[in-house]
This record gives sequence, structure tokens and C-alpha cells, in this order.
Amino acid sequence: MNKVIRTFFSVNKKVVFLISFLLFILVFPVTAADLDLDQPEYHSFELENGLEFMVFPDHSIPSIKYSTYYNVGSIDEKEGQTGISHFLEHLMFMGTKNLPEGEIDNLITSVGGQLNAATFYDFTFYYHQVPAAALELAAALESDRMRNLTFDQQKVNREREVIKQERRMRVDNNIFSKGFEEIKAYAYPDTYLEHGIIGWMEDISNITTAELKEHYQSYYSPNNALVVVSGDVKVEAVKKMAQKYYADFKPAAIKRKDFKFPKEESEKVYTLNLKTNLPYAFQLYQIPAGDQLELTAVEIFLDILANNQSSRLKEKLQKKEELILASAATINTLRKESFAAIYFIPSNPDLVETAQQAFDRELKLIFEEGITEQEFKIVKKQYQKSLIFSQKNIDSTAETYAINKIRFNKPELLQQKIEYMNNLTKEDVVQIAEKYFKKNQRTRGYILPEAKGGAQQ
Amino acid sequence: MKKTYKILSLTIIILFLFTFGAAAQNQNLSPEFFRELADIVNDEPKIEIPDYELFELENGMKFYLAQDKSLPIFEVKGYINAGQINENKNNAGISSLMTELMLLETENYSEQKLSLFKEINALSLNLAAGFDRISISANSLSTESSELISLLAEVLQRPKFEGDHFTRTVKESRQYYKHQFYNDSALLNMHFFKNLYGQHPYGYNYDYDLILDFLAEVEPTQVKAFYRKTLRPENIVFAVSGNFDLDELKQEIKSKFAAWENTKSDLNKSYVSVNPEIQQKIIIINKEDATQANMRMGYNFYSNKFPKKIPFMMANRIFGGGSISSRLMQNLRQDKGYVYGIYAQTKYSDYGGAYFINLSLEPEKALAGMEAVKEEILKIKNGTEKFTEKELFENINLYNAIYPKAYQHQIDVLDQIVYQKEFNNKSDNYINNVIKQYNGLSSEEVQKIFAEELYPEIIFTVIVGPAEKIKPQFEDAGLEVEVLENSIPN
Repeated sequence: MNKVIRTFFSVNKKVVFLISFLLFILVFPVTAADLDLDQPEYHSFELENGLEFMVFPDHSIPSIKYSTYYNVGSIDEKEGQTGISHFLEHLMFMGTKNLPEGEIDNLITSVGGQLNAATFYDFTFYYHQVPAAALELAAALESDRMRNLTFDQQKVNREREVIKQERRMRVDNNIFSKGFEEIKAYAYPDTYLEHGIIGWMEDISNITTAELKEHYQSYYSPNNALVVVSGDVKVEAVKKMAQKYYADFKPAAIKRKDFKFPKEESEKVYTLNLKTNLPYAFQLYQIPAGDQLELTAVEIFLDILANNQSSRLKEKLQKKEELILASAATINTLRKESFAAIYFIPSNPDLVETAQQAFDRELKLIFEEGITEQEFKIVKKQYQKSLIFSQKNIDSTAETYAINKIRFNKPELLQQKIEYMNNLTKEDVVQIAEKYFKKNQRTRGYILPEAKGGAQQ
Repeated sequence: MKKTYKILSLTIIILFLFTFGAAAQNQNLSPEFFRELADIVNDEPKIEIPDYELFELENGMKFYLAQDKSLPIFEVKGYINAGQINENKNNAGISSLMTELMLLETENYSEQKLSLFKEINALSLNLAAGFDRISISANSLSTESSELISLLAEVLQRPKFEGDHFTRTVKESRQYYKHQFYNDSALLNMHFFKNLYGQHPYGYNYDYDLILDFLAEVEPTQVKAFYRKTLRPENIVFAVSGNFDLDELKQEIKSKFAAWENTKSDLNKSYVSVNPEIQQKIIIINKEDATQANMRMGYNFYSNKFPKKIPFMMANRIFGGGSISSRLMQNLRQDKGYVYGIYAQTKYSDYGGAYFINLSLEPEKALAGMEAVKEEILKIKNGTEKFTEKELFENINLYNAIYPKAYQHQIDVLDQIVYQKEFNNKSDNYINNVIKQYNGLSSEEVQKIFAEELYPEIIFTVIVGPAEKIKPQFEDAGLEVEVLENSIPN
């Protein structure tokens, strides 16, 4: 019997396929499957001084990641002090009252560990990737520099030169970064998003040691921090370290500035000319704070519009009409209102205007005709895949939960997003996108080759 | 008795308070205390070798299959034993163009259909042309493993080179290579490697003018001919790890690849010839708008067969492997504040290699930076500041900590096994042998090998930056430099 079935299947593949397909269509409407994610096992606790801890045990290898997040970034900076959060991040490696310069690196290196840090728009984080046996060392070092950092004028000035060098290398010497920095500043003047994370060169040159110290004292307090330990660790061991090294720290009053982000009422356009053969076109749109679930729909919309291989911009503007070379879009999620950026690279400088018109046409088409079931299904499938693959690495899972905690005090925002996505329809996606991607609420920016000169709009 | 009880209770309370107080108050965080906490020696790790099955088709195509049921995923890494080494002066860049086109369209799937097939099944597939071989990387959820195998079969066996996608891709590639002339790092790569590798395919691949010449004339038939020459089943090997049924997968592989026949072709390969004319030479590529002097100093080095790779690797970690505690970082960043980062690296390939140091600094400090690098080289070469046992221990300790993390996932271990067995004739236990070897090193041995293989007298230097600010420093120091204008193609 089996043989008969096998023969039938092999000979009549086409017929079988057709029948199966019809059956499939009849039984299952073409809808996207529900997303699902096994929540990782984690524990959280808080000390009396407000310092919070999250522990993500995974005993597969004898290694841990000890991360400290501070709820301060470039959006918290004062005028004239842009880049101070990043500057302070550099100083955190320079020494404390208890340890001379270089010793933090030396100690971590000596146990076979690695350490680094990064400053973002709305938080700063430090991490040690160390053998599991070095938990206490990491806790002691982080607690020490949370309270005992030293500010030596000479060392500050030397590090200032390194930071200026970093800015020249990463921003001034990079067409894309330099252009984007200017366009964003034009889009959001006098707001917390006017400047980039690294700050303006003039401010980096003028920030004083006293200002750095004040910034440290204002924001590097236990009640403005989160410690996350992932890897081969037991929650009880972390609790013990928390008591031992942080319990007697005093909380501080955190003063936040007034975060103004006025709604754009009319479209703005900014053009700059740089030494490049390729033009770049940016579209910046305002979006709400990153814990708004509607942003999930915005992400889906941007994937369908610009990111997927089968996205509208890639299929039509790049492959069919050959107006652009590439397209991409991203949302810059923050604890406050922020922006979504869509960019494309027109195929040559003479096609900037045509490409822009085609972009606007595609946008209009989505708002008028909606997205297809297939487009919606693709995004959900890819999202499901990324959720499953993310489980390969406990450190990146911990990072997702930690960022949602430090930004919004919602560590399980990811679960909420999944639930939200499962209830979302393709019509919702378009309706939400229409709300945020209005022409009169955007800034267009262009980087054009110098030789061509002038804006082409 | 009551009194005794009271005293006892009081003592316990005092002891408790004292203990609790000690735990809660700030520790005596002296440097010695931290040193004690850091007294950690990591065990020599042992990487678990996956239980794999080698499944070989009659056409010579090989699959190393290892199940891993921990997650519902399916991962593939692989190699095609051909690449840029098979190019010549008249078709420089053809491997990259070919792999790019292979991913776009096949005989059975139009460009649109292929990208839809990939996305609707959430399949990832990438091909990357390297010097000696083309690497393959793919993954999917385990529910779509059959679709992924089908995709691999389509892309590898039935790519289509004629069509709109060809014209568009060539046009896009030309724009891309023209753009390299505006990018400091790309210019540095071009002028360093095309000189270092000279008239060898490795060098052609960094000669963007040569590649642009080829792209201006290329026809689909040329790419197809190159494909036929290089893509043969006997040249292809895969590592497959994930949640799959072994028998079903073998059947699937057989049905998709067994009929693929080998074609006859000779792939000539030759070693890089060292060009003595570039030794000690300093070239400035004038890029007036650059805010940096982007510099690379180095020389031709050994091929993959270099027997002292492991001790050299550990020595280079101490010297300039990128960590903040390396000698170069200590001197040029920590002491002098010249650079944000500096690193020294080896590039081993089958037919030649390179050793070089990369740094980026203010144009006015270019000479000072270059001298500081040479100063560090000479300290080791002349033995005035030999590597210490402590420096070596720290790096061994680091590697012992990071190896388990680097090989945490089965696919990465299997990938390394496949590569080392197939192309370097090593055993399954290659990773553990490396671990054993670096753990057995002494600082004397590492110092000796590194000092022997450092050749400051033949260093070739390329600097990309504003010549107006860079050149005078060298002239004042009596050093000869050649300034080349950055001639941007139309």
C-alpha cells in the first residue's frame, strides 16, 4: 500500500500539489500565524537605595556578562555640554580613588575578561565579559567606579584629544555620518535630538572637568542604574554581591531637564554638498516614545516599505525602475519622542528628484491601497524567526529585557509587543503608519556631490 | 542560667550586627583587595566535538551533518573551493559579481519570485567571495529546512546570468567601486594591497581601476564561463547543524544534488611574489578633504602554512592585538593620546599573507605616530623590552575564557572542523590542539619567534590624508615620500 501511495505521489506530483494547494486554501485562510516566544527565566530584585538587578542564568558555558546601565545619555545633556555623557564614559576607565589609571583594564584582562562601554541617546552601559569565577571582581569594580571616580585635569585633557580623534574618525571623516548629523540638527533644532551622541567638536573642546564631575554626581547614582548579570551565575550569588558592594550607597535626586520635542507642522528640506559621487536622500519623521505599542506597526510598515528584499522601494524603485541603489529604514526608539529615518541612495545625482517623487508615490500607494496579506505574513514570519534565533544567546536576550527596563520600566515589553502583533491587522498597520508618515511632518535631507552643486528638489 | 542566656543572646546580636554591618558597608577597596579578587586562573577549555556524519555524494559533494535539537532551527555553513585566486588581470572582481548574481535569479525563479520564496519562508542565504574560496552561510527555522535545501540547490546549480538583473547589478557595482575612491579605508586597502600583492589575483581584487575596467566590458557569458569553471560539486563542502531528521535530510540532499555533474577544468594557482621595490617606501594618497591620516604599515608575510602561527598570534596579541593593554595601545593611546584605536594583524591566505599595523590619527601627528609604532617594534626586535610571563599569561588566560564562548554553538565548531579538515588537512580535534598549543607556550619562545618575524627594515607604508599637512613632517625629518593624487574615475 505504501508503495502505491509513494508511486502515486511521485508520478502525480503536480496533481497532488494542486489538490493540496486547493485544500490548503479552503481550510486555511491566508493569514499570518501567531507569534510565540518562550520567556527566558530571569530574576529581578531591588536594593533599598533603588539600585535594581536582573539575573539571567544560563549554565551552558562558564562565563558571565556583568552589565551596568545608567539612565542617562545624550538627550539629557545641557546646551554647551553636548557629548558630556560619552566623555564621561571614557573617563570611567581612567581610575578611581582606589585604583590607578589603567588598573580596571589590567584587572579584567588578567582574569581573561573583556570590557567595554557604549553611550546611547538615552542610556549608557558598561559591561564585563568575564569567567564565572570573576563575578565578585566585576561587582567590586563597578561599585567602585559608581562612587569613587577621580577627575584629574591632565588626564581629562589627554582623553579629550582621544575623543576628538574619535569624532574626526567616525563623524567628520564619514560622508554618511557627517551629512546625517547636519540634517538631523536641521530637523530638530533646540531639542534634545539636535546633537549627536558624540557631541559637537566645540563642546568637546570646552567641557570642563568640573562639569564632568557634576554630570557624574547627578546621574551615576544607584537609583538611576540597573545591573544585569547573564550567564553561568546563581541569583543568590548576585544578591550577596549586591548587598556587599552597593547596599550602603545613597540614592540621589535625579533632575531631568524639560524634554521639548515640538510637533512638526510643515515639511522642511535641507541640502548639503560633500565630496561624494553618490547622493543620499533621508526622510525623517517624528515618532512617539519607544514603549508605545503602535511602533510595532511602524516597524512592520518600514520593513514592507524599505527593508525587505521584496519591499516596495527595492522591488519598484531599485529593481524595476533603477532609480535607487539601496534603501533602508529604522526607528530610533527612545524613552522620549524620537524619529524614524528612511533613506535611499539615488542611482545618480541627476535622479534625486525623480527618486524622491517615486518614493512619495509609493508611500501614497500604500496609504491608498494598503498592504497585502502576503507582505504582512512575510514580516510576521521573519519576526518569528528572529525571536527563535535570539534564544541562542542569553546575553542578547538579557540586553533586550534590560533596555526595556532602563528606558521604560517595562522589562517584558517584548511580550507585550508580541501579543499586540498577534492582534494586529494589516489594515491597522496602514492606519497607524498614515498617522506618523505625513508629508507635513517630515524633514527631507539630501547629501549631494560637491561638483554638481545646489539642491535638486 | 538566665544571665548566661542573656549574655549569649547579646553576643549573638552584637556578632550579627557586626557581620551585617561589615557586609553592608563599603569594602576596603584597596588595589591589593582587587588583585586578590582577580587571582583567577581559567582552566584549559575542552571544546566538545559534535557527533557528526560525513555524507558524501558520488559527485564529490560533501555534507557534515550534526543534529542539535536544542532549538527549532537549521543552520548551514559551507565553502566552494574557488574564488578570487582564480581571477586574472582581465576579469578582476568577477567572483564577487558572480556570487552577487547567483543570489538574484535562477533558471526556475525570476528575481522577484526568488526573493519572495526566500522571504515567505524566512530563509537566509549569503555567498561571499574570498581570496581562496567562496563561503556560504544560510539558515532557517527547522520547519523550512527543505525549502532552504531547495534554495541552495537552485542558487548553486541553476543561476541565471543573463537578464535585467545582470545589467542593473553591473551598473550598481560600478557605482560601488567608484564610491571607494571617496572612502579613506577603501583607498588605504587599495593602495596597500595592490602594491603588496602586485601582479597576483590577490592584488587585482584591491585594484578598483582594474575592476572598473572589467565591469565596463563584462558580458553575462564571461560570468557564466567563470561559474562553469569554478562551481563544481567536488569543490563544495557543507557543515549542517540543527533540528532535523538525519535520514530525511540525506534523502533531501541526494534528491537535490546527486544529479549535478562535475565539469573538467584546471584551476591554476600561484604564490604571491614579493616586490622588493615597495620595501621601506612611504606613499601618501592625497585626499584633501580627509580629517585624518589613515595609515597602514606592513609587509608580505607567510601563507596559511606558516608553522609558527599560534606563538605569533599570542605575541601579536601582546604587541598590538587591539586590546587596551596591548603595547601599541598603551603607547599611542594611553601615553600619547594620538589614536582612538590601533591594531596589528596577520592576514593568512593559501598563496601568501600580510602582516600590518593600522592606525588613524590627526594629519599633523602622522610622523610621530609612525615613529612610535617603530619604537615599539624595536623594543621587541632588539630585546630591550621583552615580552613578560605576565603578559603572556594574561593572553592565554583570556583565550581560555573566550574559546568556550566562541565555540558555544555547534554550528561554529562543525564549521571549523570542516574548514580545517578539508582545506588544511587537520584533525577533528584541531580546536583543542590549538588550545593545547597556546597553553604550552613560554614567554621566551613567543618573544623569540616574534622578534625573528618582525622586519622593521622592509615596512611599506601607505597614508591616506591631506598631503599638504602630512608631507612636510616627513620632508623635515629627511624621509622620502611619494605623493599620489587620488584620481577619481569618471
